[in-house]
Amino acid sequence: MNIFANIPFMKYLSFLLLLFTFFVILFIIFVSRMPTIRSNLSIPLTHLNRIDDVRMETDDVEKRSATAFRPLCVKCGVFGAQDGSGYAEFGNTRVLAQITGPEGDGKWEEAYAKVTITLKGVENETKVAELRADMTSSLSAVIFVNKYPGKVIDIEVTVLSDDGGVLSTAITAVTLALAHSGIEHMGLTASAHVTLRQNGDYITDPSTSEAEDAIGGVTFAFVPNLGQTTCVNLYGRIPLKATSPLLEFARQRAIALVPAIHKAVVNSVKERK
Amino acid sequence: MEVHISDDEKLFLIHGVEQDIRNDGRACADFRPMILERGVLSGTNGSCRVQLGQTTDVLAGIKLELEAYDPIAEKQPKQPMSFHVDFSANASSQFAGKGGDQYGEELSAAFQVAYSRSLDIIPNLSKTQLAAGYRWKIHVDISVLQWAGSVPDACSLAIIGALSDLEIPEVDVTPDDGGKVSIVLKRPRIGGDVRDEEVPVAMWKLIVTSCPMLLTVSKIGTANLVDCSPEEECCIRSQLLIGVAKNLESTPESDDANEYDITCVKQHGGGLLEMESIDDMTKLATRTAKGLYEAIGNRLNTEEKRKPGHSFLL
Repeated sequence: MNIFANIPFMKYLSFLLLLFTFFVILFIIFVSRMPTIRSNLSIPLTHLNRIDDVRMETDDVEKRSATAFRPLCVKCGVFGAQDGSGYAEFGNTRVLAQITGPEGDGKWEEAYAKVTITLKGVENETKVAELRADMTSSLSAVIFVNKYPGKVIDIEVTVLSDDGGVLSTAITAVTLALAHSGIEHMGLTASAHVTLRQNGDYITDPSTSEAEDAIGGVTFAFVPNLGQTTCVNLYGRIPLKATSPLLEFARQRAIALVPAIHKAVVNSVKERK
Repeated sequence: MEVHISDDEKLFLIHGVEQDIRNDGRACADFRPMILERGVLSGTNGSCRVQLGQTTDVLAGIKLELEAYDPIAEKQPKQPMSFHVDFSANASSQFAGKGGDQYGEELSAAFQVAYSRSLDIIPNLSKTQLAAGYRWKIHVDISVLQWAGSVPDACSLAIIGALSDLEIPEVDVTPDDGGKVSIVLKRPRIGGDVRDEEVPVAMWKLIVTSCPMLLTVSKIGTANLVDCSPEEECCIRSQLLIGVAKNLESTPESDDANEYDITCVKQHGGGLLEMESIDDMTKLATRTAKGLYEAIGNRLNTEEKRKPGHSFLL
């Protein structure tokens, strides 16, 4: 029996109070699931030749929850001179993407655009080949190459520092650069790197040291407005029945990044105005 | 060989595979007839040639190297295999000049990923670790001599064949001065009046029943296909490279889901995919792998040894 039931105003108030607490709880849940976003873009250009400089390291992140990303910074449009540029930073993994084109190079004469990807800052040749293959596959799926006959779109990806999850960071940087360049494509790509531990725990966006005891992992990229996958890169040794829950988890994590990417694009439009 | 087929032919093919009938009469999950022969190159420690559907022709050769490494820098034992895929310009005009280099590098990288945990997967591979600082390095070189679709599948079969053909010498490791070790080939004394150099070196072989396989599963229309012919490769919407390895620790009576591990999945050559498709395609890959493991197991057991010193060209 509600003690305020006899006073109409108080009954109303208690109802409001309930509603308010409900929304507060909802908000807390929502905020805790949102990625932490660092708003200031700080590419330490002066230190580029000294990547292992201690000043490049962000403070150690205390224990994160399984669904939380490392502190991230995404920026659409970094340089004015390029046709398109984007920057993404997840913890200590930093990738810069620049696009030149579409423009004719005098040689390419097919009825569709040629998309080339150059990777810089990765030493290991096998790794370069792997990254390039995955990124070319993921990008050629979204760019409308038929709209640019006889043109070349040159994408230069510079890995400034690598601390795990380079592929997903690079895909994020390139999708921002693509948005900045105005090249027609199907939509933004959201991508997340997730690893699986022996005991079945997931880790979202692990750094190199966090991923040490993992039995495998996956980099998953998809276009949210189509709901279609553009890149799957699974590695390690994962039991068959654990693969689809892992992919689904990675997809959920990629969805969580979408607002951050949208915000970066909106900010770049504002700046341009 | 470049394939040019008209839109109508493509449509016919796509409608066909959606009904589970392919132009050559196979069902979607069927492989073309294949030939596997081992011991084809005398200059290698292990070799294998695989022909798929009479036209895709792949040659794999393995060379062993005794490698010294720094045991302090490398605490975790590294996977001893390295892969290199080379596309011959004779295979297809698209590989002429440097045309095949990029695809070759990508494929080598994919094999590297698929075999990255092979120390856990192949039961006696850790025997290549001889002593602290010394190990056998296994270089796998694959040449694609002819191209007619599904090269990764043919390569992975050739790799398994070559690994099963590979003979690794047994060695004696004895401590030496300065904390080093001396490694000597093991020659079991058989008695009689034979000089030491003439006694054959004892050899051991890898257990290949659980080697990872890299299979391509392609989406054409709404159907998933394995082992695509060149005509079918023109109609592919998207393709997954899936690495499947048998899990030897699982009990045989358990269901398929426990029996296989996925070591690699890569989306290849662009295209968009639904989440559910990825699931279906991995399931198809494991089903295919089951059949392939059986077929390759039978072949490796029954194959007759080739006369030493003769290549398959003779």
